[in-house]
Amino acid sequence: MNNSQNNATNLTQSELYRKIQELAFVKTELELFLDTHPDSKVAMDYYRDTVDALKSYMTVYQAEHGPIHAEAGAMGGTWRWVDKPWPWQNEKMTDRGEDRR
Amino acid sequence: MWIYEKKLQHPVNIKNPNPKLAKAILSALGGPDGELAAATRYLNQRYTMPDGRVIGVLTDVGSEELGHMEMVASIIYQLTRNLSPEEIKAGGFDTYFVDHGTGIYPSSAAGVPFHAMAIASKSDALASITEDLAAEQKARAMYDNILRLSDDPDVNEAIRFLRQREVVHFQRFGEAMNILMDKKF
Repeated sequence: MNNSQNNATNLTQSELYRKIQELAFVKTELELFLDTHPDSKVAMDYYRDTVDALKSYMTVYQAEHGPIHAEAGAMGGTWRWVDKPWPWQNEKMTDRGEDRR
Repeated sequence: MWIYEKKLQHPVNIKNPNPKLAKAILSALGGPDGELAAATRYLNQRYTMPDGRVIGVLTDVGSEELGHMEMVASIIYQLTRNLSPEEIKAGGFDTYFVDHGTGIYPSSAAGVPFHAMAIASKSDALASITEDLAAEQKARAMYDNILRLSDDPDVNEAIRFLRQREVVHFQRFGEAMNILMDKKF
């Protein structure tokens, strides 16, 4: 298990989710930068490290807590892609209801 | 084509419903300088760009704006949960509510439905990129106006993130402009 996966297994669901949002944001930001600076070695190295770390956290998150990418929705016995919560439904809102779908 | 990730780019966790604020924030969704306008503008302009780096910027910024559309819709969705008719009327949300309930519909705060006339897309690359620089400043100014009207810290946190992204996009489009001018398009 690489370093990020080691760290990831000790986090709660919301800590993991937050870490994934942070890393995915860095990834997006670097993609935009690389679009106009495609020869930047510094940015490329940072990007590769970010992608590696993100993959590790995603692996742990999706195994425990459900899919962020659709393929992970097939990991269990049923198609979990459709399960709530969807991203705009936060825990503080009361209209999510008790059912999973 | 597009892949969807089942997460918001940045968290939106609003504790207090507020239909009046939701109405103002509609412009960030379906207004002339909102996220739907931005995504539509960039994703349509990219096809005829002469340089791969400029196509890359327009594709990737345009895709990010779709994610921002989702964030703005999430803000509006959370601001309009569990409202009584009295709260809807007091918030001036009744005119929207009649046609849409608490559903999400792309219009401006003033009730003008989203229209592609808000954007320009030309095969003249310099014209389009100049439009994009203006668009990012207009969006940034629109978010400044929302911050003037809002005192909800949960809302402001998300809005400040979106505002900062417009500043970064402006920077990237400036670089795209330089690329085009270096190649003399």
